[in-house]
Amino acid sequence: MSFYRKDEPGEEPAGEPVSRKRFLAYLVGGISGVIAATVATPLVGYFLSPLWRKHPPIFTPVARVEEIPVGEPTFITYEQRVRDGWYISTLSKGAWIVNKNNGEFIVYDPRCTHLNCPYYWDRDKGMFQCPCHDGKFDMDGNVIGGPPPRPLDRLEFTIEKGSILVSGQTVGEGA
Amino acid sequence: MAKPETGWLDERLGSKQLLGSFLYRKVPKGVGWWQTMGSATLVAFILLLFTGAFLMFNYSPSPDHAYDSIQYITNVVQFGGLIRSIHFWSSSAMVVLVGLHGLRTFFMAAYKYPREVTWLIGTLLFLLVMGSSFTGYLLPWDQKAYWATNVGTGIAGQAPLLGPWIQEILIGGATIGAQTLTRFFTLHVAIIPPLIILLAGIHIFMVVRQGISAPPKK
Repeated sequence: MSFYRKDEPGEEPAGEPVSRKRFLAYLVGGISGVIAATVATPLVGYFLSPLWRKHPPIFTPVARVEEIPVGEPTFITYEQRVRDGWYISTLSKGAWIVNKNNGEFIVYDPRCTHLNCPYYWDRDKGMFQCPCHDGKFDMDGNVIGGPPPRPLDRLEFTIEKGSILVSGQTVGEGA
Repeated sequence: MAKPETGWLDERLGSKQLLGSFLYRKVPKGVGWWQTMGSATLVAFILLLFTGAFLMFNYSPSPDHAYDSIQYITNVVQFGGLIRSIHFWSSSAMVVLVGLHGLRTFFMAAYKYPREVTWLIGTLLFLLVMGSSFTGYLLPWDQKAYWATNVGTGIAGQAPLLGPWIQEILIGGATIGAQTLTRFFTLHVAIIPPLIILLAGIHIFMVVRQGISAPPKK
Protein backbone atom coordinates (compact mmCIF):
# COMPACT_ATOMS: atom_id res chain seq x y z
CA MET A 1 0.00 0.00 0.00
CA SER A 2 2.97 2.33 0.25
CA PHE A 3 2.51 3.01 -3.45
CA TYR A 4 -0.37 5.37 -2.70
CA ARG A 5 -0.68 8.35 -0.46
CA LYS A 6 -2.36 7.64 2.82
CA ASP A 7 -5.42 9.83 2.46
CA GLU A 8 -8.56 7.83 2.98
CA PRO A 9 -11.94 9.51 2.84
CA GLY A 10 -14.13 9.83 5.88
CA GLU A 11 -11.39 9.84 8.50
CA GLU A 12 -12.18 12.52 11.06
CA PRO A 13 -9.90 12.50 14.07
CA ALA A 14 -12.03 12.90 17.19
CA GLY A 15 -11.64 15.95 19.41
CA GLU A 16 -10.68 18.41 16.69
CA PRO A 17 -13.41 20.96 15.94
CA VAL A 18 -12.35 21.33 12.30
CA SER A 19 -10.01 18.77 10.89
CA ARG A 20 -7.21 19.70 8.49
CA LYS A 21 -8.96 17.83 5.74
CA ARG A 22 -12.24 19.59 6.32
CA PHE A 23 -10.54 22.96 6.54
CA LEU A 24 -8.89 22.39 3.19
CA ALA A 25 -12.21 21.33 1.70
CA TYR A 26 -13.82 24.57 2.90
CA LEU A 27 -10.83 26.54 1.62
CA VAL A 28 -10.97 24.99 -1.84
CA GLY A 29 -14.75 25.38 -1.95
CA GLY A 30 -14.49 29.00 -0.86
CA ILE A 31 -11.83 29.90 -3.43
CA SER A 32 -13.84 28.16 -6.15
CA GLY A 33 -16.89 30.15 -5.11
CA VAL A 34 -14.98 33.44 -5.24
CA ILE A 35 -13.62 32.62 -8.71
CA ALA A 36 -17.07 31.61 -9.96
CA ALA A 37 -18.61 34.81 -8.58
CA THR A 38 -15.83 36.90 -10.13
CA VAL A 39 -16.59 35.46 -13.54
CA ALA A 40 -20.37 35.38 -13.10
CA THR A 41 -20.72 39.03 -12.05
CA PRO A 42 -19.52 40.56 -15.34
CA LEU A 43 -21.44 37.94 -17.32
CA VAL A 44 -24.70 38.81 -15.57
CA GLY A 45 -23.96 42.53 -15.86
CA TYR A 46 -23.24 42.11 -19.56
CA PHE A 47 -26.53 40.29 -20.08
CA LEU A 48 -28.58 42.85 -18.14
CA SER A 49 -26.75 45.92 -19.52
CA PRO A 50 -29.50 46.94 -22.01
CA LEU A 51 -31.45 48.01 -18.89
CA TRP A 52 -29.11 50.89 -18.07
CA ARG A 53 -27.51 51.56 -21.43
CA LYS A 54 -27.83 55.16 -22.57
CA HIS A 55 -28.98 55.97 -26.08
CA PRO A 56 -27.27 59.25 -26.93
CA PRO A 57 -28.99 60.83 -29.96
CA ILE A 58 -26.95 61.83 -32.99
CA PHE A 59 -27.47 65.52 -33.78
CA THR A 60 -27.37 66.28 -37.50
CA PRO A 61 -26.78 69.82 -38.77
CA VAL A 62 -29.75 70.73 -40.95
CA ALA A 63 -29.47 74.48 -41.65
CA ARG A 64 -27.66 77.72 -40.86
CA VAL A 65 -29.55 80.17 -38.67
CA GLU A 66 -29.29 82.91 -41.28
CA GLU A 67 -30.87 80.65 -43.94
CA ILE A 68 -34.23 80.70 -42.15
CA PRO A 69 -36.05 83.98 -42.85
CA VAL A 70 -37.98 85.56 -39.99
CA GLY A 71 -41.69 84.82 -40.07
CA GLU A 72 -41.37 82.56 -43.10
CA PRO A 73 -41.50 78.79 -42.29
CA THR A 74 -38.82 77.01 -44.31
CA PHE A 75 -38.76 73.36 -45.33
CA ILE A 76 -35.40 71.64 -45.13
CA THR A 77 -34.29 68.06 -45.85
CA TYR A 78 -31.45 66.24 -44.15
CA GLU A 79 -29.89 62.81 -43.67
CA GLN A 80 -30.56 61.57 -40.13
CA ARG A 81 -28.04 59.03 -38.85
CA VAL A 82 -29.70 56.48 -36.57
CA ARG A 83 -27.66 54.37 -34.16
CA ASP A 84 -28.84 50.82 -33.42
CA GLY A 85 -26.04 49.26 -31.39
CA TRP A 86 -23.17 48.72 -33.82
CA TYR A 87 -25.45 49.39 -36.78
CA ILE A 88 -25.72 52.97 -38.02
CA SER A 89 -28.21 53.63 -40.78
CA THR A 90 -29.26 56.80 -42.56
CA LEU A 91 -32.79 58.04 -43.05
CA SER A 92 -33.83 60.83 -45.42
CA LYS A 93 -35.93 63.23 -43.40
CA GLY A 94 -37.44 66.66 -43.59
CA ALA A 95 -38.57 69.36 -41.17
CA TRP A 96 -40.28 72.74 -41.11
CA ILE A 97 -38.23 75.39 -39.32
CA VAL A 98 -39.88 78.55 -38.05
CA ASN A 99 -37.86 81.63 -37.13
CA LYS A 100 -40.15 83.77 -35.00
CA ASN A 101 -39.78 87.52 -34.79
CA ASN A 102 -37.50 87.50 -31.77
CA GLY A 103 -35.08 84.96 -33.29
CA GLU A 104 -36.71 82.09 -31.44
CA PHE A 105 -36.72 78.86 -33.47
CA ILE A 106 -39.21 76.01 -33.65
CA VAL A 107 -38.59 72.80 -35.62
CA TYR A 108 -41.70 70.88 -36.64
CA ASP A 109 -42.06 67.27 -37.64
CA PRO A 110 -43.23 67.59 -41.26
CA ARG A 111 -46.17 65.20 -40.83
CA CYS A 112 -49.72 66.24 -40.05
CA THR A 113 -50.85 64.98 -36.64
CA HIS A 114 -54.04 63.65 -38.21
CA LEU A 115 -52.83 60.88 -40.53
CA ASN A 116 -49.15 61.70 -41.15
CA CYS A 117 -49.65 63.50 -44.46
CA PRO A 118 -46.94 66.01 -45.39
CA TYR A 119 -48.35 69.53 -45.01
CA TYR A 120 -47.18 72.77 -46.65
CA TRP A 121 -46.98 76.44 -45.76
CA ASP A 122 -49.65 78.55 -47.41
CA ARG A 123 -47.94 81.93 -47.65
CA ASP A 124 -51.07 83.86 -48.69
CA LYS A 125 -53.20 82.63 -45.81
CA GLY A 126 -50.26 82.49 -43.38
CA MET A 127 -50.89 78.99 -42.13
CA PHE A 128 -49.81 75.37 -42.49
CA GLN A 129 -52.20 73.52 -44.73
CA CYS A 130 -52.59 69.74 -45.02
CA PRO A 131 -53.79 68.66 -48.46
CA CYS A 132 -55.30 65.34 -47.36
CA HIS A 133 -58.15 66.35 -45.07
CA ASP A 134 -57.83 70.12 -44.94
CA GLY A 135 -56.07 70.30 -41.59
CA LYS A 136 -54.87 73.81 -40.73
CA PHE A 137 -52.23 74.96 -38.22
CA ASP A 138 -50.92 78.40 -37.36
CA MET A 139 -47.24 79.28 -37.15
CA ASP A 140 -47.12 78.12 -33.51
CA GLY A 141 -48.43 74.70 -34.58
CA ASN A 142 -51.91 75.14 -33.09
CA VAL A 143 -54.83 73.51 -34.86
CA ILE A 144 -57.02 76.20 -36.39
CA GLY A 145 -59.13 73.98 -38.61
CA GLY A 146 -59.81 70.48 -39.88
CA PRO A 147 -59.56 67.08 -38.19
CA PRO A 148 -56.03 67.09 -36.59
CA PRO A 149 -56.39 65.95 -32.93
CA ARG A 150 -53.38 67.83 -31.57
CA PRO A 151 -50.92 70.60 -32.47
CA LEU A 152 -47.91 69.90 -34.70
CA ASP A 153 -45.18 67.71 -33.20
CA ARG A 154 -41.91 69.52 -32.45
CA LEU A 155 -38.44 68.05 -32.96
CA GLU A 156 -35.60 68.26 -30.49
CA PHE A 157 -32.93 70.65 -31.74
CA THR A 158 -29.97 72.66 -30.59
CA ILE A 159 -28.11 75.62 -32.02
CA GLU A 160 -24.34 75.47 -32.13
CA LYS A 161 -22.13 78.12 -33.76
CA GLY A 162 -24.97 79.32 -35.95
CA SER A 163 -26.01 75.83 -37.07
CA ILE A 164 -29.34 74.23 -36.28
CA LEU A 165 -28.88 70.55 -35.30
CA VAL A 166 -31.72 68.04 -35.10
CA SER A 167 -31.70 64.69 -33.27
CA GLY A 168 -34.80 63.22 -34.87
CA GLN A 169 -36.50 62.92 -31.48
CA THR A 170 -39.93 64.42 -30.95
CA VAL A 171 -39.98 66.64 -27.89
CA GLY A 172 -43.62 67.53 -27.63
CA GLU A 173 -46.63 69.15 -29.18
CA GLY A 174 -46.97 72.73 -30.28
CA ALA A 175 -47.89 75.32 -27.69
CA MET B 1 -16.51 15.42 3.07
CA ALA B 2 -18.47 15.71 6.28
CA LYS B 3 -19.97 12.66 7.91
CA PRO B 4 -21.80 10.88 5.12
CA GLU B 5 -25.43 11.67 5.75
CA THR B 6 -27.87 10.64 3.11
CA GLY B 7 -29.99 13.61 2.02
CA TRP B 8 -33.14 13.78 -0.05
CA LEU B 9 -31.33 14.51 -3.29
CA ASP B 10 -28.48 12.13 -2.63
CA GLU B 11 -30.90 9.28 -1.98
CA ARG B 12 -32.24 9.78 -5.48
CA LEU B 13 -29.12 10.81 -7.41
CA GLY B 14 -26.41 8.93 -5.57
CA SER B 15 -24.46 12.16 -5.93
CA LYS B 16 -22.28 11.63 -2.90
CA GLN B 17 -20.96 8.35 -4.22
CA LEU B 18 -20.46 9.86 -7.66
CA LEU B 19 -18.62 12.88 -6.28
CA GLY B 20 -16.68 10.63 -3.92
CA SER B 21 -15.38 8.42 -6.69
CA PHE B 22 -14.43 11.55 -8.61
CA LEU B 23 -12.67 13.33 -5.76
CA TYR B 24 -11.26 10.51 -3.63
CA ARG B 25 -9.16 8.79 -6.19
CA LYS B 26 -5.96 7.10 -5.27
CA VAL B 27 -3.09 9.25 -6.42
CA PRO B 28 0.40 7.84 -6.93
CA LYS B 29 3.41 9.27 -5.13
CA GLY B 30 5.45 11.92 -6.89
CA VAL B 31 2.45 13.56 -8.50
CA GLY B 32 2.72 17.33 -8.59
CA TRP B 33 1.99 20.48 -10.56
CA TRP B 34 2.68 18.83 -13.92
CA GLN B 35 -0.36 16.62 -13.38
CA THR B 36 -2.63 19.67 -12.99
CA MET B 37 -2.22 20.88 -16.58
CA GLY B 38 -5.21 18.87 -17.81
CA SER B 39 -7.51 20.35 -15.17
CA ALA B 40 -6.13 23.81 -15.90
CA THR B 41 -6.94 23.30 -19.59
CA LEU B 42 -10.47 22.32 -18.59
CA VAL B 43 -10.86 25.50 -16.52
CA ALA B 44 -9.69 27.62 -19.47
CA PHE B 45 -12.16 25.80 -21.71
CA ILE B 46 -15.08 26.41 -19.34
CA LEU B 47 -14.16 30.12 -19.20
CA LEU B 48 -14.07 30.17 -23.01
CA LEU B 49 -17.48 28.49 -23.26
CA PHE B 50 -19.18 31.04 -21.01
CA THR B 51 -17.44 34.19 -22.27
CA GLY B 52 -17.81 33.01 -25.87
CA ALA B 53 -21.53 32.37 -25.52
CA PHE B 54 -22.01 35.86 -24.07
CA LEU B 55 -19.93 37.49 -26.79
CA MET B 56 -22.33 35.97 -29.31
CA PHE B 57 -25.10 38.18 -27.91
CA ASN B 58 -23.58 41.14 -29.71
CA TYR B 59 -21.45 39.67 -32.49
CA SER B 60 -22.49 39.88 -36.11
CA PRO B 61 -20.63 37.48 -38.44
CA SER B 62 -20.86 39.55 -41.60
CA PRO B 63 -18.06 41.54 -43.25
CA ASP B 64 -20.13 44.73 -42.94
CA HIS B 65 -20.61 44.55 -39.21
CA ALA B 66 -18.17 42.08 -37.63
CA TYR B 67 -15.57 44.74 -36.82
CA ASP B 68 -18.13 47.32 -35.69
CA SER B 69 -19.97 44.82 -33.50
CA ILE B 70 -16.72 43.89 -31.77
CA GLN B 71 -15.86 47.56 -31.23
CA TYR B 72 -19.37 47.89 -29.79
CA ILE B 73 -18.77 44.96 -27.41
CA THR B 74 -15.40 46.36 -26.36
CA ASN B 75 -16.33 50.00 -25.91
CA VAL B 76 -20.06 50.27 -25.27
CA VAL B 77 -21.52 47.14 -23.66
CA GLN B 78 -21.07 46.99 -19.89
CA PHE B 79 -18.26 44.53 -19.01
CA GLY B 80 -17.92 43.80 -22.75
CA GLY B 81 -14.22 44.65 -22.83
CA LEU B 82 -13.57 42.52 -19.76
CA ILE B 83 -15.44 39.52 -21.15
CA ARG B 84 -13.68 39.83 -24.50
CA SER B 85 -10.33 40.04 -22.69
CA ILE B 86 -11.10 36.93 -20.65
CA HIS B 87 -11.99 35.10 -23.87
CA PHE B 88 -8.80 36.32 -25.55
CA TRP B 89 -6.43 35.42 -22.71
CA SER B 90 -8.17 32.13 -21.90
CA SER B 91 -7.73 31.04 -25.50
CA SER B 92 -4.00 31.78 -25.39
CA ALA B 93 -3.75 30.09 -22.00
CA MET B 94 -5.61 27.02 -23.25
CA VAL B 95 -3.19 26.53 -26.13
CA VAL B 96 -0.19 26.81 -23.78
CA LEU B 97 -1.76 24.55 -21.15
CA VAL B 98 -2.87 21.88 -23.58
CA GLY B 99 0.67 21.89 -25.00
CA LEU B 100 2.23 21.46 -21.57
CA HIS B 101 -0.33 18.76 -20.76
CA GLY B 102 0.58 16.83 -23.90
CA LEU B 103 4.33 17.22 -23.34
CA ARG B 104 3.98 16.07 -19.71
CA THR B 105 2.05 13.01 -20.84
CA PHE B 106 4.64 12.26 -23.48
CA PHE B 107 7.78 12.74 -21.39
CA MET B 108 6.37 10.82 -18.41
CA ALA B 109 5.27 8.05 -20.76
CA ALA B 110 1.74 8.28 -19.40
CA TYR B 111 0.34 7.45 -22.84
CA LYS B 112 1.41 3.79 -22.58
CA TYR B 113 -0.77 0.78 -21.83
CA PRO B 114 -3.58 0.91 -20.76
CA ARG B 115 -4.01 4.60 -21.60
CA GLU B 116 -3.47 4.61 -25.37
CA VAL B 117 -7.10 5.48 -26.14
CA THR B 118 -7.02 8.42 -23.72
CA TRP B 119 -3.87 9.61 -25.50
CA LEU B 120 -5.40 9.27 -28.96
CA ILE B 121 -8.50 11.18 -27.88
CA GLY B 122 -6.12 13.76 -26.42
CA THR B 123 -4.42 14.24 -29.79
CA LEU B 124 -7.83 14.79 -31.39
CA LEU B 125 -8.62 17.33 -28.67
CA PHE B 126 -5.32 19.06 -29.39
CA LEU B 127 -6.27 19.37 -33.07
CA LEU B 128 -9.69 20.72 -32.12
CA VAL B 129 -8.09 23.35 -29.86
CA MET B 130 -5.83 24.37 -32.76
CA GLY B 131 -8.87 24.55 -35.04
CA SER B 132 -10.76 26.63 -32.53
CA SER B 133 -7.85 29.07 -32.23
CA PHE B 134 -7.49 29.36 -35.99
CA THR B 135 -11.19 29.93 -36.67
CA GLY B 136 -11.60 32.31 -33.72
CA TYR B 137 -8.70 34.44 -34.90
CA LEU B 138 -10.60 35.55 -38.00
CA LEU B 139 -13.75 36.71 -36.21
CA PRO B 140 -12.60 40.25 -35.19
CA TRP B 141 -12.28 40.88 -38.94
CA ASP B 142 -9.46 43.37 -38.62
CA GLN B 143 -6.29 43.50 -40.71
CA LYS B 144 -4.42 41.05 -38.49
CA ALA B 145 -7.29 38.55 -38.57
CA TYR B 146 -7.72 38.81 -42.33
CA TRP B 147 -4.06 38.39 -43.22
CA ALA B 148 -3.43 35.67 -40.64
CA THR B 149 -6.25 33.67 -42.20
CA ASN B 150 -4.88 34.45 -45.64
CA VAL B 151 -1.50 33.01 -44.61
CA GLY B 152 -3.03 30.04 -42.72
CA THR B 153 -5.29 28.93 -45.53
CA GLY B 154 -2.43 29.61 -47.97
CA ILE B 155 -0.28 27.13 -46.06
CA ALA B 156 -3.06 24.55 -46.30
CA GLY B 157 -3.16 25.23 -50.03
CA GLN B 158 0.50 24.22 -50.36
CA ALA B 159 -0.20 20.61 -49.38
CA PRO B 160 0.58 18.24 -52.25
CA LEU B 161 -2.29 17.14 -54.51
CA LEU B 162 -5.22 17.94 -52.21
CA GLY B 163 -3.93 21.38 -51.16
CA PRO B 164 -6.04 23.63 -53.41
CA TRP B 165 -9.18 21.68 -52.54
CA ILE B 166 -8.49 21.89 -48.82
CA GLN B 167 -7.92 25.61 -49.17
CA GLU B 168 -11.18 26.13 -51.01
CA ILE B 169 -13.11 24.06 -48.46
CA LEU B 170 -11.62 26.14 -45.64
CA ILE B 171 -12.32 29.47 -47.34
CA GLY B 172 -15.75 28.43 -48.59
CA GLY B 173 -15.18 30.20 -51.89
CA ALA B 174 -12.54 31.59 -54.19
CA THR B 175 -11.40 34.43 -51.91
CA ILE B 176 -11.59 35.18 -48.21
CA GLY B 177 -14.83 37.04 -47.59
CA ALA B 178 -18.37 36.79 -46.28
CA GLN B 179 -18.54 33.03 -46.77
CA THR B 180 -15.24 32.49 -44.98
CA LEU B 181 -16.45 34.54 -42.03
CA THR B 182 -19.74 32.65 -41.55
CA ARG B 183 -17.90 29.37 -42.12
CA PHE B 184 -15.26 30.07 -39.50
CA PHE B 185 -17.90 31.47 -37.13
CA THR B 186 -20.01 28.30 -37.41
CA LEU B 187 -16.98 26.06 -36.91
CA HIS B 188 -15.85 28.18 -33.98
CA VAL B 189 -19.15 28.29 -32.08
CA ALA B 190 -21.30 25.37 -33.24
CA ILE B 191 -19.07 22.54 -34.46
CA ILE B 192 -15.81 22.52 -32.52
CA PRO B 193 -17.05 23.24 -28.95
CA PRO B 194 -19.57 20.35 -28.86
CA LEU B 195 -16.89 18.02 -30.22
CA ILE B 196 -14.48 19.18 -27.51
CA ILE B 197 -17.14 18.68 -24.83
CA LEU B 198 -17.87 15.16 -26.08
CA LEU B 199 -14.27 14.05 -26.44
CA ALA B 200 -13.07 15.79 -23.26
CA GLY B 201 -15.91 14.06 -21.40
CA ILE B 202 -14.66 10.65 -22.54
CA HIS B 203 -11.05 11.73 -21.93
CA ILE B 204 -11.75 12.80 -18.33
CA PHE B 205 -13.92 9.75 -17.66
CA MET B 206 -11.00 7.54 -18.71
CA VAL B 207 -8.61 9.45 -16.45
CA VAL B 208 -10.93 9.06 -13.46
CA ARG B 209 -11.54 5.41 -14.22
CA GLN B 210 -7.91 4.43 -14.79
CA GLY B 211 -6.32 6.85 -12.36
CA ILE B 212 -3.27 9.00 -12.91
CA SER B 213 -0.25 7.07 -14.09
CA ALA B 214 2.65 6.88 -11.67
CA PRO B 215 5.54 9.15 -12.69
CA PRO B 216 8.52 7.14 -13.95
CA LYS B 217 11.41 6.49 -11.55
CA LYS B 218 14.41 8.67 -12.30
